[in-house]
Amino acid sequence: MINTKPIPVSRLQPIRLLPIVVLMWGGCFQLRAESYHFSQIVSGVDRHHAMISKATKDPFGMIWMLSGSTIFRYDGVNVTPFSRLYGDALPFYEVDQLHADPWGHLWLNTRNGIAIFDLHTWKFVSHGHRLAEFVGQQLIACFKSSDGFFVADKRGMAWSIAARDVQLLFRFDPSNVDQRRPVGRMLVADAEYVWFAFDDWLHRCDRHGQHKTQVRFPPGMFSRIEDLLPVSDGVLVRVYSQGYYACTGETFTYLPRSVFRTNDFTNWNHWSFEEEDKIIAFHEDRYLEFSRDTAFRLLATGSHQLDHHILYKRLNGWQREQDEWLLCTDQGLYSVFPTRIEFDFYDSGSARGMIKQQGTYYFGGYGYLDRMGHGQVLERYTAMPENNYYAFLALSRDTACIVLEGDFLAYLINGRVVPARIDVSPATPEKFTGMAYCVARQSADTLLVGTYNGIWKYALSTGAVSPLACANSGFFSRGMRVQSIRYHAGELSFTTDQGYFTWQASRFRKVYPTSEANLNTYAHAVHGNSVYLATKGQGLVVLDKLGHLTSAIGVEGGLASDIVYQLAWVGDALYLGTHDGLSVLKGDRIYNFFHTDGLPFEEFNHQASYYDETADRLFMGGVGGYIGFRPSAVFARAGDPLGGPRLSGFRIGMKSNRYVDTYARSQLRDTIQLPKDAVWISLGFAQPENHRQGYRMFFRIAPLMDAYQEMPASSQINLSGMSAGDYRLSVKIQAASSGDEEAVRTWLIHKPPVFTETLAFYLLILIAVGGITSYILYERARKAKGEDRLRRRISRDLHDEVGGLLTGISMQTDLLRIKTDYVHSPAVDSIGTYSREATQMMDDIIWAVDSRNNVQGSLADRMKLLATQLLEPLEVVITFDVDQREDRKIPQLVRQNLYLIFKEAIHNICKHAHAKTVHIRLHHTGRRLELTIWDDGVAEAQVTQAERRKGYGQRNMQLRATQIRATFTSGRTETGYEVSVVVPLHRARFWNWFRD
Amino acid sequence: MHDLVVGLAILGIAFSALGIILRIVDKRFRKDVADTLLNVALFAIMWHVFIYLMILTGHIQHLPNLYNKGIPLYYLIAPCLYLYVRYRLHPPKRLPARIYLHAFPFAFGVVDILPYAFASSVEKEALMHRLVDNISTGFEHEYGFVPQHWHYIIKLSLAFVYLMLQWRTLFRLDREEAGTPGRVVTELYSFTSLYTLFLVLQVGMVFNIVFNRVQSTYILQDSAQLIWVSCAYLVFSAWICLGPLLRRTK
Repeated sequence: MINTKPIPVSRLQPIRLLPIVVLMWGGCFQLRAESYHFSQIVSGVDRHHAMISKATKDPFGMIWMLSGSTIFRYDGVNVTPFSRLYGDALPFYEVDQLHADPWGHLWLNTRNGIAIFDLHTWKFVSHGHRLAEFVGQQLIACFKSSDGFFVADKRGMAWSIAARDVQLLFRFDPSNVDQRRPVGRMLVADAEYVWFAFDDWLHRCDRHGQHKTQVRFPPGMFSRIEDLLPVSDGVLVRVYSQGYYACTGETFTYLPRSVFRTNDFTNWNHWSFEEEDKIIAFHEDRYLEFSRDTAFRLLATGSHQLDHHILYKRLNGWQREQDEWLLCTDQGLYSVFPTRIEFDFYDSGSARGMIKQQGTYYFGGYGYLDRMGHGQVLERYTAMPENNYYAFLALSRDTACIVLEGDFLAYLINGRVVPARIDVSPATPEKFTGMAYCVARQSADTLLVGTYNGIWKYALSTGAVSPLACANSGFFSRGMRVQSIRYHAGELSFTTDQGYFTWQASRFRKVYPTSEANLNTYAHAVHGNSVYLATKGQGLVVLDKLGHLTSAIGVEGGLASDIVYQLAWVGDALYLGTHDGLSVLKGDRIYNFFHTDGLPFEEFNHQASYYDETADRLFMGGVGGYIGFRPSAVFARAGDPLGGPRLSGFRIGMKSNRYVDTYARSQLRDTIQLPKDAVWISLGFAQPENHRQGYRMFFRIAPLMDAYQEMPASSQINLSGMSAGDYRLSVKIQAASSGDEEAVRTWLIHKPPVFTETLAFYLLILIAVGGITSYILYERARKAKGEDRLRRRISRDLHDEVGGLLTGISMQTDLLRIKTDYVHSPAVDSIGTYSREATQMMDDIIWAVDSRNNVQGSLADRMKLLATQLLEPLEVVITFDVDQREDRKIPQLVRQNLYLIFKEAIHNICKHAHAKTVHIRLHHTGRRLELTIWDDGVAEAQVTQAERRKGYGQRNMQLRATQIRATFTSGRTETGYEVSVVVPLHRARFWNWFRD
Repeated sequence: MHDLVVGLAILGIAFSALGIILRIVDKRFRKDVADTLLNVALFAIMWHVFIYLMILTGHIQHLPNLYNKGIPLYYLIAPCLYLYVRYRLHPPKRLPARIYLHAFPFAFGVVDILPYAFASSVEKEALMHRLVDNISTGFEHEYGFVPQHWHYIIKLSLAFVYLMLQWRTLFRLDREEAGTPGRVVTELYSFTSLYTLFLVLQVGMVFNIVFNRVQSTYILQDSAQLIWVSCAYLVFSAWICLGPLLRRTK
């Protein structure tokens, strides 16, 4: 799509042109920088429709095209029909003129008259709008300048349209309309006058509409007019069969110029336009600059290829837009624009190294040398043999060494190529190859030559060639293609197809890459304490003096390419010839230059750079030859003003296979509301001026991305699976030649939550979970409370009902016994005894069942009471050791069983131990409950009794201990008998909180 | 909406502060362990809301030293409210030693705020700038010994457990046995219900973030969600300040 061939231009005066033409004819060619460049914007609106009849650019950088009476928009990426962009039915079917005014209106001349589309509101102008009076009128001509817009309509009125007002400039007679519609312009304006050619009359009016004149065209001229060009003191009229006429407003003057070799001024042979104080003309293959006045003086000439590439494709129209011209042809749309930097171009063919000797430049490469002397004319140096001249090294003022890819070395002595003597010892064990690529001087008589098989020493005096080897490392560069060599202060550094190496004091070291991986490294340069490597794949690699990686700058870092073939330091700037343009590193900023900046080619070559310090010119060679330029000139160029990023298309995919496609309305909004059920969105971004490579585009989506990424070539961002929330899409446009200049625009994309993403949904989930948990807790609490109440009721009933009855029986037997007529009866005694025992037992049961007694002190008190009741009558000394550090309740089951174990133990002591002393220990440590009952009872009796009771008491106590997961031990000690129970209380405590 | 959220929260803070002051001024409350615990919890919640507002409005940038200091306090909210309910129902004769076990997460919080506390003021200001720019930095920053989001997870998990214990305590209450006045029981049920609502809204927002981590910043600033939390906080603090205080007699 983009033509990289230059439009070469010579700025020499005509009188000096002849010898140059003669030299060129003789095979000498010196070509200077071109002033204008061109590139194809689009090859057509689609694959089958290449013809563009009109094109214009709106203030946002979008190009609007007319093809086959249909309007299309080109956003730098895609061509989209206006009908699709508009969304609704268009109020017309056919359009024959299309203009964009500087204020965001599209003027369309349709079969039904003028329609004006407002790009800001994305609506057609209607009643109430200041331009409404033009709607429906027939348009004759329009002209757009940088500061105005002029319209001539079929009512016979010429208007000046400004940002806020509309002014009638003059009236003309529209009745006798000549239907001729030339490709060029019939309505033009400059700072002073508006010129309008219509119906055999040339109208002139000042910009304020106060002074109007008109002059009739000479007979037959109007029907042959092709274009009008406003000049300082009049207007130039291009007549396709004769050339130019000048008109000052009163008369016409023919301007024949011999430089036009033919009188064919038709659009396929000639095109011209006004530019500041010049008229630029492309006539056949000649480039011409004339003074912009009625004198029409020739200022400069050159050659061009515009005729071949554009004019022959049939011009259908042209439109000036800022600093470029849009040229509509039958084979697409082209842009012609001025180059910003004047790189001198030397067409020496595919370039390699070069050198300057005695004022003459010698350009290497494949085939003949090219040379350029003081006359600044490049010539092919056919007197010298053809060879592969790869690199040069100056040895003295009149002698240079030439590195040959094939023949190893030669000399350039006083401008003549002299073969070098090469004496390779047959005894050398290494394989010598003449494929040499670089050279450096090791000593006065020794050169180091980098070849396809390592580095070889060359003795200037004898021509002896030997491999560079040392005792420690041998022939360390064996098998390497050596591409650059530097020898300084005893240290050799070189780059090869495997990486960057050093050799010093017989120590050979691979510096970069440090791993086993190979990296093709074309060149290296030392500057300050850093080493700069030109690599294939990692761009520019910077190492510190120890060889540690400092940085690697590639495309992502702003370099033109990841492949760097050559580098040259000039002052404080590093110039890098890359695979895709020229990059310059200065400080921490990177400047890039492409063919649109004036480079005649973008792919540079290895070893093809040379800085002429005396002339302050840097030469850099590539596939098309050499460029030469003043190094500091590249920083003087002003960058293009960056327009803000612009959304060009917006598509939303929703559930149920629904799809929304809005191409343009969305670009007007900064906040984009997505539907709730959006599952996929695609955003397309315009890339205005894409054909001029002036910027790079990056994007970032917060919170999905932390840093900017380069915009894909499709300029489209797709997002799927978006959760509810806000997404900030930022698009940044950054000038290609500077990291500083940038424009950022941010869109807020809001996706509302579906129900499952709302707080309400999560609340429902939590309420459900909490409700279930609470219900479980509530039920357990209710059950526990009910159990406690039941226990209390039972104990109360037992106490009140049964307890009262038993107490009554006991009292009755006691009363019976104290009666005077009582006859002793064992049965009555038994009743009394049993009833008291039953009362006691029931009291224990009531105490055990009642959950209110689960508090700590209750158990200890009860134990004390029982022990006192049973043991004191036996005159047993009782000691208590109660320690309750915890005030937490004792579980019901534990308390009940522990008490019964205690009771059994005390009963055993009473009945069988004959003890004098009993020691009771109850300790609650929080983690466990420990009960120990010790007595000093008689051993024999206890043994006898113990054996007898083993089936009852012991077994019951063991069983109760097991129920409460306690450890039970009993048996004799040295001083008595001991029963011990240890109850763990914290096992599964958390769970028991919920379970209890 | 944003202003409404801030306004309601400020009102809530005012009620909380008033509630605390009244409980401190009144001798009957000042000597009550349960009310002291409630004061601690109220202050912690109030501080939490205050810092959140500072972040939301960006003012935290001017007072970076305030940030992160409340983390230990937030761990006290749930146990204090639980113990408040428990001691209101069963006033202790003396505080058991094991009560200090509930302060273990507080100690954990104190340790974890040290890295930020000892950071330089430049670092603090930089963090506050990041925080205001992206509020999710609050649980993503590196100033702590544990990943900061664990504070939210642990705090809310503990709050859930304590809340269940709180409800269990209320459910287990046998009024006829304990002799607790019906008014107190009703008051504690209301209090626990409001606190439950307040907590559930917070946990709901956390769940929303957990399942939509990418949009955490948006969720944390979403007025449509914050308005409910603000309302709940306002009602909760107003109820604590005015409701029981006016009716309660000892």
